[in-house]
Amino acid sequence: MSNEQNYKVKDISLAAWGRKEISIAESEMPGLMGIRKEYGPSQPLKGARVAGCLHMTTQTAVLIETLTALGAEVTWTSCNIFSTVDHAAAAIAATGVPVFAWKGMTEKEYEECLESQIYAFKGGKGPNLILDDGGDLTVWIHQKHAKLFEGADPIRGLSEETTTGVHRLYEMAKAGSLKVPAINVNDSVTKSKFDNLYGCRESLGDGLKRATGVMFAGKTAVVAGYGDVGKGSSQALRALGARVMVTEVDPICALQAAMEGYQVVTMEDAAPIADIFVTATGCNSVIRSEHLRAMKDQAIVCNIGHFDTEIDVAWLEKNPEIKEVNVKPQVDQFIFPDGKRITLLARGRLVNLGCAEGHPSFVMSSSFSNQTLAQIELWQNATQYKAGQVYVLPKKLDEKVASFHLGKLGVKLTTLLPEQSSYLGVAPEGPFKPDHYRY
Amino acid sequence: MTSDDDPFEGPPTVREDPNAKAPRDLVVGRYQGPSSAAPYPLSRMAPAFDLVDVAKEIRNADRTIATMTTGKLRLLAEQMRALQEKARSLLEKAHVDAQLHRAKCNFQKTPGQIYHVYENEDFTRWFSLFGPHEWRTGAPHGYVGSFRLEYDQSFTRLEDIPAEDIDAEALQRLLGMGLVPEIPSE
Repeated sequence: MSNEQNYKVKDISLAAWGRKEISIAESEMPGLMGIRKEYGPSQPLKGARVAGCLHMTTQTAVLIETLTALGAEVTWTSCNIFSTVDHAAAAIAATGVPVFAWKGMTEKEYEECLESQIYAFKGGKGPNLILDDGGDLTVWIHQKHAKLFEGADPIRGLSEETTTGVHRLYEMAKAGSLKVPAINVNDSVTKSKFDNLYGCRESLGDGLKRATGVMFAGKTAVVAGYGDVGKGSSQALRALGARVMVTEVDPICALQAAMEGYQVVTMEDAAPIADIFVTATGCNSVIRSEHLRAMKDQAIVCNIGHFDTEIDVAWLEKNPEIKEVNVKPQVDQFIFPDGKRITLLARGRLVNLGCAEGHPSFVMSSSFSNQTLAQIELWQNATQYKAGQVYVLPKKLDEKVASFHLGKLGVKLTTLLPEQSSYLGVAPEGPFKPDHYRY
Repeated sequence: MTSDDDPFEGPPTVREDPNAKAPRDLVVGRYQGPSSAAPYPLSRMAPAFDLVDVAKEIRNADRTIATMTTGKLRLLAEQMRALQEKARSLLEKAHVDAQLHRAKCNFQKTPGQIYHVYENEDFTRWFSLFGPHEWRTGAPHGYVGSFRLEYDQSFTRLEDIPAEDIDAEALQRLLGMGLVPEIPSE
């Protein structure tokens, strides 16, 4: 029975519910809907077979349906074992798109899903485009299916969603092992300066509240890392009255944090004081055993950085002295020998996706519009991009993504007068800023 | 007194005695009522019935009752054994179900869905959505079985699920996918 299914989701009967939420999300995603309207008739992704590996949420469902609306054949997995919204996955599977994603899979099943999606295209053909978040699918195909980069209809390129994945891409490019051109979507201004910042600002609190219901006001919180995600997280906690401390390794970011009024400390200083710990560094071993030992009773520990390497969860799990109690899905308490309890959310994986439903649709529209435009670029203009190189989308497209979103918010844009245009040396239709401008 | 007159010896019989002076009804212990209600035969035409017969009846009855009771008791015993067996298998099933619920599972299980259980080398069990023949990267060793979660939180082995149930499930799926139009409510 299940052998014939070309998908694997938690419960396909949730599809009707998922469809209703997708309709709501569509109205909040003017970028993707605008792209469908503008590019749909010309079918710019006709013939493309996109293997996508990105958190299977309701917003991603709108991205998937945008890609299919532009002519692509798509298979999908979630890039995190806890991040799937099951009813959204069911709704997409019900349309016939092979989806292999459910919330709470094992790591072995995760790999199995990656493998399944490669074989799930019609006629058993492999993908010819990759859309990735975190680089897992990219690495999987490079290591296990390198033959897909050769032949008559090879993989033409890949687009990468997130900071961590981009970091892996640059390392592969440096080592000469990257076999196709890659577009770094993360560093589009309309991605990292919006999704990472405004997205996390709204969804961090959502995850913490749904998991624990903890009151922020008056609490002491530590945010590890003051990048875009750290900035959004700090603002979210401060906005509800928490006293926020920041840890940083980079003097520039540390100075930014300090000048925003946050106390910049080390984790050693913060561990015995803070009530809420949030890691957002993209690094590993940020909260280690010595910090966990020093924490107060009932401290809440979570991560909003891409990988689950920031908190030493393995130490908690393997230490025979520490007992573990599951409170509810994605919420675990670890009891130390002295009776102290630490609450760990989503087992150190992304808290906003594990304990809530990820970023709001509007900000994801901005990120995913970049993804869609990157896929069109790689498919239509493949010759302009060299294999083994990592590119950023042209500024013009970045601005286009932003302009798709203005109408919904009632923004009225001012147009440059001819004399202003010549004074600045900028065309009235853009691009308005040089590539190195930091926003 | 003749032995015939002795009410305690044998069945009294009625004889015509022309010499008898005393009226019959004055003899103590003798039946004096109408012959139609006499406790012993008053006519030779009557069938023989006496106290020996009653004893036999009692003996027969006792024997029959004993047989019947033994039969009924045996039935009860059998039922008791069957109930005991049923109780044992229920407890065993409850134990198996409880053990299954303790297997590692990070997703919320939905009644009516089929799940596959595997066992790691360290004997920890875990639930998967992938059946034993669906793995492309190699099935994990230690396949325990495939089970359907029932609405009472018990599990039914895949091989014990009747075929018509699976059809109903497929229909349910179609309904959920919105492929079958919903019946409008009044």
